[in-house]
Amino acid sequence: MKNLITFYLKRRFFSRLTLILGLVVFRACGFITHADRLSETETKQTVYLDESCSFLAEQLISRSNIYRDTKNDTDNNCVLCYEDGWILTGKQITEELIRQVENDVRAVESEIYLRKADLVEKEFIERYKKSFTVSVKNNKKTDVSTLVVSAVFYLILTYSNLISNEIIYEKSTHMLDMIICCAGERAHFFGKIITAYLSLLIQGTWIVSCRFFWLVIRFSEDHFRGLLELAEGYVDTQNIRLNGESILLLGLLLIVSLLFIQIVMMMVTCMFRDSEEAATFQNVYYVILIALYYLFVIRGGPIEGSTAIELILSYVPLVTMIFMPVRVLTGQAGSLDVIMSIVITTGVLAVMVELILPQYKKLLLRK
Amino acid sequence: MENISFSVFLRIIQQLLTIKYQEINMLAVRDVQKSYGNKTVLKGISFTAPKGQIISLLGNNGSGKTTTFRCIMGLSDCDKGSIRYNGRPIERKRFGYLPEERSLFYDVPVFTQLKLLGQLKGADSEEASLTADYWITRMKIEEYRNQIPLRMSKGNQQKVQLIICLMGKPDILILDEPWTGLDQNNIGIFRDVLTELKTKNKIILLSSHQYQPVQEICDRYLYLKNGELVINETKAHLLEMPQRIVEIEHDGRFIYQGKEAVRTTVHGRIVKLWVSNDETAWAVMEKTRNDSSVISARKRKLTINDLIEVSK
Repeated sequence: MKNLITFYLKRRFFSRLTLILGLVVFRACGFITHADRLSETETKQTVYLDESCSFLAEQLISRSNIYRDTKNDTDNNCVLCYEDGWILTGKQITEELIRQVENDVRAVESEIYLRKADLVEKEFIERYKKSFTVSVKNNKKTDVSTLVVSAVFYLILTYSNLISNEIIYEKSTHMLDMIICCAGERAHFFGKIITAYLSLLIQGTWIVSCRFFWLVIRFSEDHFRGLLELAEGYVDTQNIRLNGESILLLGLLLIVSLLFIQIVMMMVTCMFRDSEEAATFQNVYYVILIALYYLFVIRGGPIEGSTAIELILSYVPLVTMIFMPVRVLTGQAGSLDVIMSIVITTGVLAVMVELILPQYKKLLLRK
Repeated sequence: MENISFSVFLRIIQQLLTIKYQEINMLAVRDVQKSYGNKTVLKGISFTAPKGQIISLLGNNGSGKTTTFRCIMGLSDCDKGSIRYNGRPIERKRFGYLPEERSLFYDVPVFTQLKLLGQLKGADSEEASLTADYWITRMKIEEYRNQIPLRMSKGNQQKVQLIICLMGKPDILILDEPWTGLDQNNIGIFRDVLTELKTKNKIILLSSHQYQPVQEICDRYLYLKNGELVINETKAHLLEMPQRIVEIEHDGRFIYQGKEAVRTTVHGRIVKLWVSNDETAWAVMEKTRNDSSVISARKRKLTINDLIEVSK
């Protein structure tokens, strides 16, 4: 089995394509670590001025090019209005933008009042205190649960078909007979699973190393200030309740669940005679996964409170890796729940392997 | 009463020992049956293959040859019957298998995949490398050592396939259509290799539709017809058979009217007469000598082809 695993790993990683992909990952990590600078140049936010603040529109527009006095196409931008104080309404409003608007409004108002001849100093101070704080409304940020679910779905899509595609290749090249003949079906079964995990580990290590390298560089540049500001603008981290123990347990749950999905996919793929049959199934599988994902995103995730169905699904092996992390992130489930989910998944997995293994050869070599 | 029971017991033991003894140094296939759905592919076939023999399994397409091989190697489970080597169930690592279809990693260099499959069969890295290099040289494909099979001809791919089969020093070789895609020169190389392996006491089971090389190198011929073993004949016995075949080539006017032939077949302008012995064959040839329609007449011993023709 050791030889088989070594061979599978060599096949996966010792190629020009893998080397190129490795470099792409390295570059991608660099881009992610400097994402704030990319967004700075490309997605500078525009502040639309409502009619309620027309009295200082001209000055604000002349002061900075982020202000516009039209209300057209305001869907993706923010609007500044005045209703007993300054209100900024919109999506993904960064702290930086709020500070800039506050500064600009303060400066323009000061200018206007200072120009007035009958200005009473006390009145100005009162007005200054009252009005120059900008409050934010409807600032929609991406909640972390959606991000986590996206990552989990990505992992499922990437890794669930990894083994099955290899089996199909071996079947279509008739190499499977040779391997089974030489190494046996047991070695093949466990060899595939171990290889998949070692691949995950190797790829994960490479990605983490790249990230670490770029983070060190970023830390030396600005102590992550820009990145943190970006995250603050886009990601809602207020509801997150996560600690080291939870992260560790969720990681374990992810590994066990991926193993579960891989074995299910492996067994399903074994039944197919060729790549055409497998592709038909995989297409349906991908469509279902994507449909589930969009359903989750449209619903906004279970951040507002789990329903009974979601509660049950968070313990069901095939979908636990989607629902449990979200429940943990929102503080609706604790370490004990994750442990229970791991135990259930492992138990079902053990029973499944016990039942499946005797049938594996038969299914695998089906003609 | 006690004596009777004891004698029965002794007889059972004796029979068991006999079976065991008989199965030593050979592959024994006993009453193997296999069905796919409602279709019975193998209908209880039995034969033995002793060490140091080349056995051919012949038959038309769909007669059950590949299924027999797969059952022997445990790649398919047989519904009934047993397959044993040296009186024991077979370990799969004892086999070398050359499947009918090309079974190669097309993007992995020849030497790498030979080494891997050798190691999977239990050889250590050095041993697998040495064996791979030996057979690469023996098969005259040194220039393709580090080449990927995708860029090789069918014949050379088949050579690689045979080397894979020989990796790990197997006791039993199963070759499903080994001569497919080979030219006469390479058929010769394969024949020499198989003869060499025979002298090394390997059991070689092969199937083929090319009867010429089969006739030359095989010690026993098995013929399958619709899942039934209808011929199980040794080459030695076939050669010892007194029957002869007289082949008469004629110009189209010849009609055989004698009573010597036990069986007559016509293939275009060649009439094949199956006669009981050598003397009768001489007599038939003598009779045809004066016939103006006969171009040539010759006698020969029986071949496996003749037996198959009869069984059809």
